[in-house]
Amino acid sequence: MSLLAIFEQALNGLIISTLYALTALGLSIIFGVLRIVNFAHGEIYMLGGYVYYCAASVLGLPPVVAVASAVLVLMAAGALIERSLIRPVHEGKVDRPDEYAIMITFALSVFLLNFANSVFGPWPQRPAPLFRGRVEIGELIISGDRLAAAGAGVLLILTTVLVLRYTWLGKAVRAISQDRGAAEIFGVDVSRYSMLSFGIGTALAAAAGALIGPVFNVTPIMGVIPVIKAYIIVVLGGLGSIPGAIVGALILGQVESFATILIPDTSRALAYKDAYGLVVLVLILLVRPQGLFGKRERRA
Amino acid sequence: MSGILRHRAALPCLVLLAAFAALPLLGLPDYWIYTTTIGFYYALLTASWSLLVGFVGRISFAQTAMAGLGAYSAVLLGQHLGLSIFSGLVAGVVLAALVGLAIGWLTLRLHGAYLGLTTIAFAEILRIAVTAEHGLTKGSLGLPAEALIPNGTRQNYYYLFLAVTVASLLVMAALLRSRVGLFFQAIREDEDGAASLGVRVTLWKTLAFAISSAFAGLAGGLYAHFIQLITPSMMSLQEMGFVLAMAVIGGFHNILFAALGGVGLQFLLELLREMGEWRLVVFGAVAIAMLRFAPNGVFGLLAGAFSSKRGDR
Amino acid sequence: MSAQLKIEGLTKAFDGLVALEAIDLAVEAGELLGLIGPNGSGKTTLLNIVGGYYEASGGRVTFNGRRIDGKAPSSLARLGIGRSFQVTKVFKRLSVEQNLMVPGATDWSVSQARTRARARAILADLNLDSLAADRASSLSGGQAKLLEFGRIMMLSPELVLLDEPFGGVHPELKAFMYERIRDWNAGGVTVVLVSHDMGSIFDLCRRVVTLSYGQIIADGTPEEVRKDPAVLDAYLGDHHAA
Repeated sequence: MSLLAIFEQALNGLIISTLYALTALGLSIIFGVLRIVNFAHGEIYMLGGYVYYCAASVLGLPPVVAVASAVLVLMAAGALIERSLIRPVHEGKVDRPDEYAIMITFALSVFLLNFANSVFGPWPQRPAPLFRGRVEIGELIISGDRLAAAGAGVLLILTTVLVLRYTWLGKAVRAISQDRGAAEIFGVDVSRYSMLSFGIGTALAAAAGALIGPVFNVTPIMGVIPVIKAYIIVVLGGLGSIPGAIVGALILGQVESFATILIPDTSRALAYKDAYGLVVLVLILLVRPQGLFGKRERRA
Repeated sequence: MSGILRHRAALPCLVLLAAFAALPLLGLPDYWIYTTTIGFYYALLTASWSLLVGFVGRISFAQTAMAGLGAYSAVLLGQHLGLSIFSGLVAGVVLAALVGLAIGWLTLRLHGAYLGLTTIAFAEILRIAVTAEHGLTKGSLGLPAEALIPNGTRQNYYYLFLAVTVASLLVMAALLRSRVGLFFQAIREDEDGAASLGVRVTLWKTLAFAISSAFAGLAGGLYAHFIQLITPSMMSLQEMGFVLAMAVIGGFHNILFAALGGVGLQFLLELLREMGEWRLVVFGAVAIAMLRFAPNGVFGLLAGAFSSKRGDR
Repeated sequence: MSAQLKIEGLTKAFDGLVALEAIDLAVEAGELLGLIGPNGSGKTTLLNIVGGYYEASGGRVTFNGRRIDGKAPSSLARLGIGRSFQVTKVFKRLSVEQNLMVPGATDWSVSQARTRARARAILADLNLDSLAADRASSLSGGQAKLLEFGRIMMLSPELVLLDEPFGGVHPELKAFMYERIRDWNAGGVTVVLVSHDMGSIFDLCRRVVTLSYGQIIADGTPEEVRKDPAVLDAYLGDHHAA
């Protein structure tokens, strides 16, 4: 393979990784604060794509505004989900909290997927992208929409990391992640921040969906595979670890791009593309469940 | 609770069985006989899933993947090794049980969401493999299978599926009422406590996965030779979502309630076909509501109301 | 030595923090031994190693001449070692009777019917028989501790490890529990009792072992230990002293 082709592959991998990382970041924040894995995360991502589509193609709003709407709408939805469905776990009202959270978010994913299917139909939508055209860097040609999406993604990731590090909101979120009880004693309104954190998590997934929608199409099932990538990333990096999510995304993006090349039988290698990451997931969970940067916890 | 429940539940169970047995004879149209037969497939899946998740407390999203494994291996082993349909089915069950045993063993130290994620990974790897090896499995085009009952009518299949489902439920119930059922429940309630009392937690956790997978494999194999064309979509996470929702609505802490959820919802969903895709939305919403407000499911609620009316406890 | 439980050179370190250092302890069959020590002295760690929940970093544990360190808790239960937990681990959604049936059922040579009869007898002995069909979650804290006793008794153990069994228990119930422990011991069961409740240790035990910072600093009768300056120092004294 020519150096150029390798570079293009790597760049493509990097672009997609960015948006996976954004999704994974949302998942990580939700897990960090609420100690649950949001099994409906893929459908939130998908709905982000649809809100973008509604705002950009149906209402004709400018792309940036459309992305913002996706973020805001799904942030509100996330807060609502936390308040109505997840809150009981932390109020001790649930017999088996782990099981409940897993099952109710999985059931939510069934609901949301079929909801989107009913409202929008199964056919793909292609809303207007953030940026049309091609970008040429020397001999390298990259499609502008992908680059814009990735760029926006990077911006959002950076913003989130900065917010978590330097703002009061971020400090509260990190405090609750480390020790919910202690945070409560120190006067942090744990219920409100739980709601907010879930909302931030869903907002990030929605942003990723809104950014990727114009590039790869918006369909009701668009979230099913990406969320599994997000799971792989957060587990690889360590559930609840922000830097872990970013490193995990980079690793996964490259593994997927290059594993396909390395296996000789190209048609089958491509068909198994999604499986490589899954094998990584299984191996990590069996060998080092806390991931690269996570803390060892007995249960998730 | 176990001994007394047997007698209290025996009469309603017999009534239910009689009702299902009588349905085709009472003039249920062929299409609905077919639908209910598919319902029995789901009943087997929901019951075996609830055994693992509700009774032993081990979360798994691999149930439909195990059904698909049973289905594909039954058909392929039958075709390529020249086995009879029956032997193929047995081979499918054995293979599903062995894979279930392996997954159960590998996931011993995993709990909660980590366990759930691992089972999702295994399920998806299996589905992707089945799709990718389309030389063998015909992938998404679908793999044709021989009819289980040559020239069988829909009534024939109905009674066969009913018989297998009832027999399976009886086997599962016998197991759960035995000391093994006690071990399963103890593991669900407190693994460390159970171990400190001599329960072989490792053994029972592994066997639970194998047993649950074996019944799923049986369901899959029968299904394959009934509808005579299987595709990898039967192993998808969307299908798993349906099984979960059916079990939850029926009542996933009780294998009979879960089974009734399976057959009942399959029937209901067909009945509401003119609602279009919205019926699935309502389905999902009801499942969420059940988990939130009535975790014992519809049949759990009914059973609870009935027993409190009778004034016990 | 014919000690029933022999702990030799037992060491346990958690990521560099030494919880137990070269512990040597011999417990004879039929002893009623108390294990005390301030918080962080290693009592629970020791119990967890003997009970099979932690692996030792060094040294060994033998029971009736057989090496048991590294064995799983379920094997130890079947070898005759029973254990209660500081935070009770009753099976909340099972009935009181079912809680007792679980350990009984692990012996496949005994029918469920006989196990049920034994369970009922033990429940009667513990004054819990009227609650047999109730869910274990409905029990009070003290009753739950008694239920744990009952479950251990179903194993017909030779050695019982009790971890803070009197925590938050009503005095009347405590006296009842004392009686049960003494009866057990009189019947030949070796009891190792870990407790912060000095009253109960001195009332029940004929031998008291004191741990501090992972080492045994005293081993004798209650009277001897009560007056031992090293023990007083460990509890009251300057904790920065080496």
